[in-house]
Amino acid sequence: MHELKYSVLSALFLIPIVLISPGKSAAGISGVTRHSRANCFGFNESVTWYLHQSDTWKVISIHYPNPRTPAGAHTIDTGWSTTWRQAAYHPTEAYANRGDNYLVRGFHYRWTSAGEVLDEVTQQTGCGIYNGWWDY
Amino acid sequence: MLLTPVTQGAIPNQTQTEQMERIRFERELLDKEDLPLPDGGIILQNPEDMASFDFFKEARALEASDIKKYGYIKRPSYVALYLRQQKIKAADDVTTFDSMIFAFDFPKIQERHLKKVIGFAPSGSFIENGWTGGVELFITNYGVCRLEVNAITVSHGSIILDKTQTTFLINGKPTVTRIEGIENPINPIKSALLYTVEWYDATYFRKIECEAHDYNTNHLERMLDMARASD
Repeated sequence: MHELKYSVLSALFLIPIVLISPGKSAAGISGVTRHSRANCFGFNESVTWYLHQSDTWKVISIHYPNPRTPAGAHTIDTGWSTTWRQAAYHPTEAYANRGDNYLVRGFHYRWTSAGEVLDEVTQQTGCGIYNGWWDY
Repeated sequence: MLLTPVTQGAIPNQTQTEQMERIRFERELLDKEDLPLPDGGIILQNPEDMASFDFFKEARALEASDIKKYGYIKRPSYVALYLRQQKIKAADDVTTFDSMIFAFDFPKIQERHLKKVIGFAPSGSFIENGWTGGVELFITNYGVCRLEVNAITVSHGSIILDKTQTTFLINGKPTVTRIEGIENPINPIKSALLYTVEWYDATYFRKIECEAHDYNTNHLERMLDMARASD
């Protein structure tokens, strides 16, 4: 297993969102949201975001080339930083149209001076930015 | 428009042995960094034993210094400003409770603590049967507030708490409080402080945030009452 680290690439994130989104967001405005996406126009990712406030977050995204076993899996670890959007993003890794079939599991951490929180584990084998996110 | 639903559960054709192998692999990975583990419950630790202790030493010292000097952490709170705005016009993702699909029973704020409910919004992620978290926005006699619920039975969350900062003020459950924001002594109407009460149990991680124009610990006391009654 090797480990890769990528910084936040907001611009690259927004392009695929715009391509697949028919309207405006129905989430991430009034509450913190978290997701993973896999085999998505080349990228795999796990993201935590909240429009109204930066928080200290760390996202670890584990990418499994074979969803059934850990063989060949690797991690993208953002490290801790204070931001409105923390993305563990790996471009040009996974293309559904060439038969890639990654499983992505995201571990979404938050730091406060009172503790370390694992807020959520997200999991995806597809590119969908789920039903409920974009519904206008 | 409906897009691919998320697969939060089992992987097709994965055997139990393979699933266990993956869980072990992930636990070893996260354990190396001493991070909270999925479904790992609530752990109380001395701050110096926490994995992030050294990395955040400066940030923690700065917060402690602010609290000593002002009573609260002095930094802008955009959540406070956002909450204030909700009284005038609710955000696009705010809707009625009946329009929301939650993957859990949403524990609402008890009615006697409310003047008016503004609405509900999603948080967390959307899994097969709904959102793993949610927000209730409401107005009290003292200001605008939000309750954010993380249903850890479906989000698989966990927490390691600094035992020196943890109380048990909400019905004996681990509780953390915080006040942050900026006061404007020349124009108090522009002051924006955010009061936060977070509490944790085996089903939910919950957070109530309320905005106010002034620093007054009575606001926090009222929020603690609200949390106790809604727990």
